[in-house]
Amino acid sequence: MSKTVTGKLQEFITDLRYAGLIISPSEAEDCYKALLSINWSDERSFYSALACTLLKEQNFIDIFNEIYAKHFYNRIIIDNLIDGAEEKHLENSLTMNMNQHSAFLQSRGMVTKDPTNKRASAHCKEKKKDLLSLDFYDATYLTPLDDIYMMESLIPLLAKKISSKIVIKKKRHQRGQMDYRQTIRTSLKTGGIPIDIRVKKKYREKPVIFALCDVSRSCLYFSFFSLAIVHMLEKFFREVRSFAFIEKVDEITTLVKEASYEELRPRIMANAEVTGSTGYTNYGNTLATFYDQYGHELSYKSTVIIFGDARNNWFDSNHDILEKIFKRVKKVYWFNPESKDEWQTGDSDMILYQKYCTRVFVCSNLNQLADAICEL
Amino acid sequence: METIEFIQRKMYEAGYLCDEQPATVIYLARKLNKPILVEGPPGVGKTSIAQAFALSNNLPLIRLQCYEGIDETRALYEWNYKKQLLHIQAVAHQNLDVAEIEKQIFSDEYLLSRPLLQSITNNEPTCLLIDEIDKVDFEFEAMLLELLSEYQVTVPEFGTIKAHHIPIVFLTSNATRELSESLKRRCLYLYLDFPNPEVEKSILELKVPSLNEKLAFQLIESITNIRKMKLKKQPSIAESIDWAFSLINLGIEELDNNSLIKTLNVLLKHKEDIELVKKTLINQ
Repeated sequence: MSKTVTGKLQEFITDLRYAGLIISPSEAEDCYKALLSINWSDERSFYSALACTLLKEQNFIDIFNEIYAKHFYNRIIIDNLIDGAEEKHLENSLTMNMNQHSAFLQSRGMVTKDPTNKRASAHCKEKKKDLLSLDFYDATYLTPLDDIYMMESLIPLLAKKISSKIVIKKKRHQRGQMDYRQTIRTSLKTGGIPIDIRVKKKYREKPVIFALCDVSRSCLYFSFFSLAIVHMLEKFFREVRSFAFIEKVDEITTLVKEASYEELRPRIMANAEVTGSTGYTNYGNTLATFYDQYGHELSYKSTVIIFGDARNNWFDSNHDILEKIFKRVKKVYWFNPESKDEWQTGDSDMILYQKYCTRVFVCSNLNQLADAICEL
Repeated sequence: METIEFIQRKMYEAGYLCDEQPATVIYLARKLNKPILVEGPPGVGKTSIAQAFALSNNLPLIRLQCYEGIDETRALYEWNYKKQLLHIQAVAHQNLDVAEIEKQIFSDEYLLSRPLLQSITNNEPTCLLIDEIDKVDFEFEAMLLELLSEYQVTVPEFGTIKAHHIPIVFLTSNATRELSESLKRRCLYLYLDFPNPEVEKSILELKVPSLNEKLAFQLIESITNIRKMKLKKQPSIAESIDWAFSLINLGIEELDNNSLIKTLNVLLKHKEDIELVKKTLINQ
């Protein structure tokens, strides 16, 4: 009942892809080639060969190891792979595969030919939905905790992606006027002919960020993911100050800086004063207390970002206070995990607040969140 | 035929304690003719793995230190403008055809090879080290792709230069930014982390032969403890080697709190870190 080696490997690669690793056909091909050049009976070489060709991002190491353990959970499986396909035959089939146009498509064909395999991979597809496009609402209520941890492990990766995008964007906007002095100087090299035009860099002031996060149950994960990303991007801002709120607002900047990502949730609940007498989310009161306590610190250099669904539980919206804030600061951004058609329903006050925001971003999953942050 | 164990042994002789995984990656890199992308925290031996490899195989090491703003004139090739100008002046009275002059000045003689071009035009095989690739711009990264996958360089005025011998390429990165997928796709990936205490002890013994058993043990114990503290910058392997040398030079044979505090500045490079470790040691 031995599965072909290529089939087994292809399943492994498919699972890695569902978990979020990007593996191109050429990398799969490298993996086959690598396996042909090493001795399989040594598990460490087997593992190293898979890891160095398929895993190109250390943040994914835990996911990789987990899936590796699932597929090749002990030596027996690897031994079976060797026994099952006689080594000569294996080599032939692998080389044949590679000689053909695409090793990847071919072996993929082999997976679908086997009905049990097909079911297995379909199941896997269902379970491991692409976590990057998983809805925050589902994440809060429907997703098992394991998947949430998986999502958390994607955050640093996402932050790095965003920061490289911001760097490119910044570079493009940085080109300013010509620098005469530098241009003349470099032109000496070419006999006084200014071949290489030098430009001055534009100076752009970094904003101070005031991030307000709804930490109520309905947008808990959304807020934490957002906060985590903003803090990882701290180098792009002059300063990031974070505030948590449900009914009242409290500053959590030091908490966020000290606590590790996992501890953050319980520590905010224990140390920050965010709940009041009722325990329901109250945006109106939050804005009022925020303006009251920290309003004097807002200036034309600050940017206010609010993470929340604007579900105000029918309390007074106090949108005039948001207007005051809006007039005072450089920009007000609102990140809402709900889609536009939901804003007008029930107790959502988003439509009222929208008028006083520079921009409202809909971010119902990690991908959209990342894109929105790039736009800032 | 080279085996993985053979690579390990040769690397050891070159002064680098090579685990099985790095050795496998090096072995595969030679087999598949692929560059190796080495990532990991600063000071775990990313650069030295390339140096040791070059040494162990008697290959000349060509090193390209990357920095922000590096461009192909520094990394790949540059036309020798001054020499070209002189040549034009020298032949000015000969009434040559313009095309003829162009052909003369855009020839091999006027091409200054920079490290990347040198590595493929060298008459013998070389080891190329592209250090801190994460510091470069995206344009530069894209420029590297041709070299890393085809081992060739295209000079517009001149044509394509193919590698005489395929070099073995190491790229190192501190992961300060995400490298492009296309670059990663072309490389084998190796992540180096801080070694466990036993391995680090063997490294110390390899690098600092005059270190006695007891001191080595104490050193590793304190370093492991110090790494557990919340520091701005953790002491690297390179720094623990420096530390061992300084202790020996100071004639210290047994490590106590006093000698530790006196020599902390070899290990730690931030004032706050030194203060923190001192405070913890005194309170113990």
